[in-house]
Amino acid sequence: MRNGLNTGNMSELVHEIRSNPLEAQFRYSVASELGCSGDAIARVQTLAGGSIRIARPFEFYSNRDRDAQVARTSQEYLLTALGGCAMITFLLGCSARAVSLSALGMDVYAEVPEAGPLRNVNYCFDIEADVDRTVLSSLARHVACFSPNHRTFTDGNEVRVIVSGVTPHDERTGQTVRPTSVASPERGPVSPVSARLDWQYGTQIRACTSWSGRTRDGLWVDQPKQALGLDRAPNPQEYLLGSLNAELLHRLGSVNSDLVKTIVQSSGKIDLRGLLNVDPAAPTRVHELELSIGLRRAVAEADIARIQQAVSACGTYQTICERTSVSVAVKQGGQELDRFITDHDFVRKHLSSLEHDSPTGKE
Amino acid sequence: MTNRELTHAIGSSPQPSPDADWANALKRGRVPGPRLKEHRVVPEDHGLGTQCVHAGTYQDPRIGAVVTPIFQSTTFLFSDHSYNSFETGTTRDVPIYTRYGNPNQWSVQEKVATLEGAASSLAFASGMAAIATTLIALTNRGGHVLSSVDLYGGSYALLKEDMHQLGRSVSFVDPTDIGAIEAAIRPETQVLFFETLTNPLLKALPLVELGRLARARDLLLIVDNTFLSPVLLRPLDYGANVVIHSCTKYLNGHSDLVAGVASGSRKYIDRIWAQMLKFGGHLEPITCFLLERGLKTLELRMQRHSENATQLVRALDGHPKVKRVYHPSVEGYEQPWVKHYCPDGYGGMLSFELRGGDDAALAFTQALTVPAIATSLGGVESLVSLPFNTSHSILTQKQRRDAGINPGLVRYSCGIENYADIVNDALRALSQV
Repeated sequence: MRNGLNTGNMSELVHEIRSNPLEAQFRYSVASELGCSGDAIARVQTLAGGSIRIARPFEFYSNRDRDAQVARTSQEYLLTALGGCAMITFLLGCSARAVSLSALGMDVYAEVPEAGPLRNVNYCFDIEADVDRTVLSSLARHVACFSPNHRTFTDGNEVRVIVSGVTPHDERTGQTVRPTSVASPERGPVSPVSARLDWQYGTQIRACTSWSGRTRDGLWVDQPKQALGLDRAPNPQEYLLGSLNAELLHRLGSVNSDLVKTIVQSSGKIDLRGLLNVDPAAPTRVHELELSIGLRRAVAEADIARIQQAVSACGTYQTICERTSVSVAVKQGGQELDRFITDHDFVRKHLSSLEHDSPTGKE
Repeated sequence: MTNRELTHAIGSSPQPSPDADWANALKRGRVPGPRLKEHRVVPEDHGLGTQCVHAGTYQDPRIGAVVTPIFQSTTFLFSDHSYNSFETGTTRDVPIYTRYGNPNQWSVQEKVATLEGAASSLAFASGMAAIATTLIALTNRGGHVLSSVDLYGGSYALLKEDMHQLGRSVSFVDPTDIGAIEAAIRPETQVLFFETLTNPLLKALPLVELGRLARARDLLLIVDNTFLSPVLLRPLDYGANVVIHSCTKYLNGHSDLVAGVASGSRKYIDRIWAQMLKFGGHLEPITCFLLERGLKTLELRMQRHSENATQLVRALDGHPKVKRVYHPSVEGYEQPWVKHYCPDGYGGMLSFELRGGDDAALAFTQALTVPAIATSLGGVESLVSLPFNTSHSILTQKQRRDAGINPGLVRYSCGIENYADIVNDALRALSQV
């Protein structure tokens, strides 16, 4: 059990999904609504993991008020989602390469503008391991290619937005809407958000997040027990979806107070063949993303316009949809070993430098 | 045994390596077992009798013992292979410590897996240990289990009294009503847990439809097949993911040990094994030895059990003092589909209601001379019990009636005695009621 991970199970999973890709398909889903206090309550839904269902009985809260005492902002969850996924991916790589870690931490940072995607997104691996620096550097570069959430940042995505309502006859109707495109201002005030993540055991990570100088400790990340984890907490994909829901709910509340009664449900799929590099043609990023906005009444024309406006202004939505570059640094024993910027082009070049079974490249 | 021999015997290591680029370079796929190269593997095309006798036998390479020796040892010498298995998490395949695995467990597990058509089996200290460990291993906190109102009392108590304390919810439905089962599925439902033939009313599952439903809805179908044994039904062939037995009953068949077993794919049984390590509940080597011995005659015994039960049913069905007989062979049996997947018989169990109610049932049991009046079932000796004062005594009379346990119900487990003695004894006892 190197690094608290069962390499044998990981190896068996690799061979299983190579012959049965259905077992590699994990669809995550999170449903959110605003509570009485104004917090967005994210309820993690049952995970469709391959040919089985995996119950995920987790809730987490986020507050729009940046000075909130307890609940985190959606951006703190978003950074935890990015860093947590990168760390778990790094751990998988370490186990495959027989690298034993003494400690693993990560500092994640980004700037949040008033509108538009996150800026200046970066994270730094903080590693204690008796291993050659080139191995750690190589692993970190691989993470940029094989971490689903990292690739969700760098690849850009299409998110299907569905608005549904209830007719007077109690029937639910739905329609796909296309958010209006909004040019993000190049400059403007930004708020810094950061997270310190510390690996505990296996896929368990403890995060301490900060927003505007206010720090909140004790946010856990973990994988389901069917996916090398111990069911301790939501996983990085669930935090990503919950973050998207929370910011959107708060923005919906801003454009129309009636829309605060909305239920927002987002879902997205991971193909483990991408994460584990089993099939170069399989997508690594969170894909088939769907954002469902459910009104508790009939949908009016004006609602559609307001929802389009709110979705378009949602920074998390934009970060997911646009190609967002991420700067990565690697420290060993406090000393910086490597620093590089990862974007769509970096991933393409790095993957092409690897030897693959298939010549098709990885998208 | 050298490290090289062990490696050859138990399949590959994942071989993590600094030269590996990523996880896709790992070498180990799932292998059947666990087993050593000394454990005899009997091909699937061999008959059940041959599998019962030979599958899993530890073929002693030094002394030449024909029967599996007893490895009554808690611990085994470390080797490079065991160290490697600790590092890579493949300890289930290496003899390290008897709770993790022991050659006697692997013998009996290989035999049961062969009979079930499974890649892997796991022996437990009881059927309840097998059920509890399996249900917890294959569900998550917040998950939901769908099960039957007609369930063995021990299983029912686990589901009713303990599962919610472990963060799982449970619903109970009519196990013969596929529509009711489908309607009770929730988004968080993970497992369907049913008995193939219920206790004590012998209702048969719509197994084929249930297998299809489980696959279509991404649910795990776990069945307790204790009443039928793999000789009469292999549920994995019909879509079950895991099949469980109380080996105390037919699989051992001699009423002299308590054990359980779960069988299925290596993927699921490995998960159950990992849970068993933490809960305990492994089967001791000497009990494995006894169970392996009992299993060798399973096919013969099941034929005799079935024959005896069918003969007794014929004698009782229509008898003036018998109100109703519960057995798949009686006319009007309400789950006719069982005949399609159990063409060779239904085991030794039957139940019947006496017209005189519980008093008549008590008088009947007191007049019997062949069977023992005791709980349990599946032994070579016939056993009789009354649900009202044993398995279902905790229920009120109304609750028993709602569950179909009517006054006068007798549960009869036919052993392998001569059927004429069983039948004549029962008729004589009825005459004294």
